[in-house]
Amino acid sequence: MSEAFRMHTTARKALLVALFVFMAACLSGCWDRREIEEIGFVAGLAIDFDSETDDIMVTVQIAKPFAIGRGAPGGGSVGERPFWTVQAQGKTVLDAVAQLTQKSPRPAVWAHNEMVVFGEAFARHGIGDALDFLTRHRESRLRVQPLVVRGFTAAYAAFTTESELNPIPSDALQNTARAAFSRLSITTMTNINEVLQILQTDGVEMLLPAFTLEPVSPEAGTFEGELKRESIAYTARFVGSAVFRQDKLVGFFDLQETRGRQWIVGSAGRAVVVVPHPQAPGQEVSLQVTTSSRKITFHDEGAGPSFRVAVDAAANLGDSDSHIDPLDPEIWTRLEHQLEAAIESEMQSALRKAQLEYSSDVFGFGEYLYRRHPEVWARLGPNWDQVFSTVAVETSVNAELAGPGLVFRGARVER
Amino acid sequence: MSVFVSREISENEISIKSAFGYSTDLVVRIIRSGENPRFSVLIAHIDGLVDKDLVARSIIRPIGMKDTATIEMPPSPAYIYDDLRNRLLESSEVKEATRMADVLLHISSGDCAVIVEGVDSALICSVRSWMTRTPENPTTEPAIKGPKEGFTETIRVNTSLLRRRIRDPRLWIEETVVGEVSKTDIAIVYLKGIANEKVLQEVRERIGRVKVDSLQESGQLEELIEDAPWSLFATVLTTERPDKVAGSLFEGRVAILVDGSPTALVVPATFLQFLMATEDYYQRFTASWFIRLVRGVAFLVALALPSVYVAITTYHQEMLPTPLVLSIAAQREGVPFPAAIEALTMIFFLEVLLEGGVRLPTAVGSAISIVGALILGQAAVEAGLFSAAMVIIVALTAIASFTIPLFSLSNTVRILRIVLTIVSGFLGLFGVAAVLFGLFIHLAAMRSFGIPYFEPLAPVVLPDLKDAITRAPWWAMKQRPELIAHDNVVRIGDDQKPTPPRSPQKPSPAGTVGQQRSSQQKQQKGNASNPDEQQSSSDQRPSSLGPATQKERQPRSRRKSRR
Repeated sequence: MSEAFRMHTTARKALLVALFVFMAACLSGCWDRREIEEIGFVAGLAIDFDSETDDIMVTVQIAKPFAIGRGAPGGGSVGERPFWTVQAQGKTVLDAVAQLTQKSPRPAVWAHNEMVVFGEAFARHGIGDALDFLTRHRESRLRVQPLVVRGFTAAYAAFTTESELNPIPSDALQNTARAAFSRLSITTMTNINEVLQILQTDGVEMLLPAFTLEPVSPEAGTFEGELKRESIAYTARFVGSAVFRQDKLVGFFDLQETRGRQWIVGSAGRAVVVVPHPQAPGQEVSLQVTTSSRKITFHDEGAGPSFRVAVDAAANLGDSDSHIDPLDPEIWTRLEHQLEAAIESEMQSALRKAQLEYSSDVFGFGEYLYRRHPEVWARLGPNWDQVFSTVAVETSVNAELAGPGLVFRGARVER
Repeated sequence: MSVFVSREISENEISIKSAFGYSTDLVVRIIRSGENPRFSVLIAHIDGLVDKDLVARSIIRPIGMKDTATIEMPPSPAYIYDDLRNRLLESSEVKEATRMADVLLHISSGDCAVIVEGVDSALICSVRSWMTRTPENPTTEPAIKGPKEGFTETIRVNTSLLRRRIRDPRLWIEETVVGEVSKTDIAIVYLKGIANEKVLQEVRERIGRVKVDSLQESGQLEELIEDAPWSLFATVLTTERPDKVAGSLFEGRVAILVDGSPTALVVPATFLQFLMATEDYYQRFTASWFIRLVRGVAFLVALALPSVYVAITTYHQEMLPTPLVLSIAAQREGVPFPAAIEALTMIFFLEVLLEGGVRLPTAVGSAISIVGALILGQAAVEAGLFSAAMVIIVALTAIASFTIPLFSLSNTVRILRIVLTIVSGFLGLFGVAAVLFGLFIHLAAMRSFGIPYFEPLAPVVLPDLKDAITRAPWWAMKQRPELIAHDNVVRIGDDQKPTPPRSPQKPSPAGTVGQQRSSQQKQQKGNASNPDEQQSSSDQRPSSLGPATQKERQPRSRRKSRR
């Protein structure tokens, strides 16, 4: 009897455990379930500052998957744009984003967002709030790329651009920025993760890629929530970079200054530098820089602290207006000197602007001191902003012209 | 009915006839023969199981020709009985039986019983002959490269197929009978000296334990002797291929043949065996290496692809690249079901198609593919009931499951796939991972006739890994599976890797290499330079395998001392 009873209780226990497991699966089940076609994938985010209401205006581009599938790109005038643009205002970024829910039938999913565009007014106001939102949000990725619109066009106007080659503006902008960075070194590439690190580090300021929006039609700038193909109003062009102090925009570098900063920081990739022809006056030669490296040293004797930046660059002959004899060592040396001078002037102009105009250490000299000469940093660090503006930076460039390209004599033959 | 064979021939006649219920295929004949005195002999057999010609020629004629008159003294029945047994019956196999039950068993097995009046013992002549199928290409395990013969329904044919592959007296066959009524012959086949005695004893015990009324197929026996009767995984390997059974015997495994079944059972079985095709051993190892990897991946695809797809698209959209997620979302647009329901329905369609294909005669089989693939698949997508991505996923799953060589495993995968898909619909990748985790625990915990089922992966047996997920070349697989044939593991002689003969003209660079080689090889290399001695060196080759075969017979001393 007792044996049977014990059997009975073990069987009941086993049944109870099985029931609990089953209930755990069922009750917690489907908790996070979101069918893929019922969510709005955010493809781009633009943040503007509305000076009238003192509000933050958030514009979000949400992908319309069904429109992508139907071959919208290049579909002519009948094509439907493969995304939906929606706008909301709020006191903070998250407040504004929350307002979006009132308008969007599909909950916004941020995991696939790759770009955030800041309007100039908002950036001057400080982008800290936006960065805070993007880093604290569970779905948003740290690889989101921040961009700044130069000029007084609203950032959301970036969503009214369209590239013939890429139907999604955020994608097109990103790819263009990447090409400008890697092929010409005239802009910077960064993401929220790097920006966050820079903001948390003393002695370095951030530099974000900047572009302008140029109107393509007189009635540009109309914006009515949803965008039709006819409302394409702007084209985007990268024009250098935006200089920040802390999280506030202080000014812009043009293309040359941006590249000057890239030489100093050592992240310049390839570049095209145009120099005067050494023999034919008024003619130009373009040189294709292939690789470069830099070395920074710090000196603290005599006339106060100073940095020396030595850049090594290798280049090829790109093209020339007039004949160049590659066997003439004199021409070769003069070209190299001219390249050195061009690079050096770019560096100097970037340094001048950063030190005198913006007093923003976008080169990370302070961080260099903090890493390499902590004792100096302990002395200079507390008021680095003033020190940076006055610190002496010597630059020197050693350029090597590696070769004439694929052909020896080329099309410009001296007769 | 008396228990023993009676001296009275008419009593025996009644016993036999009534035992068979006067069945029409039972033939009982009483022959009265000889002069002075006449003697009576009863002949009983079943029509259709015996060679009637042979009965007439080798049993009836000798009895009729027995002329008792020439013998001076009237012969006793015992004399006639002995004479028949020792001299007259022209049958290759004559046995004696005194119990009536044995006589009846032999008659129903296709033997011919000969009972002499006045003797309480019967002579059993083997004259079995019935319709059998010739060995054909095994339909369930076809091979492009490899033997094209498969087992038949006749156990004797099947044992002969094995004998032809292993011409050594150490191929031992133990026969028993299972089935109280069907009395089915069971053969336990193994290689004496290689097979693990413990496994063998376990097989004998488990088969001896079986008490059923009948046994029609080896699948029934499999369910009665397997280790994990509730598991989804089979712990007994089944095969139709004699070459596969022979290969398994050389690994130290034990084969069980069941009369009436073209499928042999092989134990102990390990999980990875179910992913191995016989062909893997006949292709060059480079091909096998690659194909086994493909099959391994296909196994995972067949098992988990629908569930992973469901989990990622409904719970973890951030894991997909943006273009892919948008593409899938575009296809799902307008689909009325959640992805999990969609997947389960598609899988159900697939199962129905598969089962319909198996049951249909081949002549109308092609209709299934047209109706199923074209009409159902395409129309369902066009009607917007299912997304094209889901059709692709399920179709890929189906094709992947066809790569699993053994049907028992693909059946398991079919069930587990549905379980995984349901769980992934509830819990996402977390659920998929949990189920797979439980599955691996289950696999690692199982044993097949004492051998860990997940060997050599868990426990890790390094030498056995050569023939596991991939296959090493034959010349490198020097050992049998260590846990199975642990007394006798060496199977291949040393230096089996073939090398081209070294050119005698260039001794200097070869010399440095040769120094590292064994002296025996150096000698062979020296011989090769002399054409007269080359013959003798090639003569030595077969005899040099001698030590290897001797090693086979004796357990390696190092191994012994370790245990």
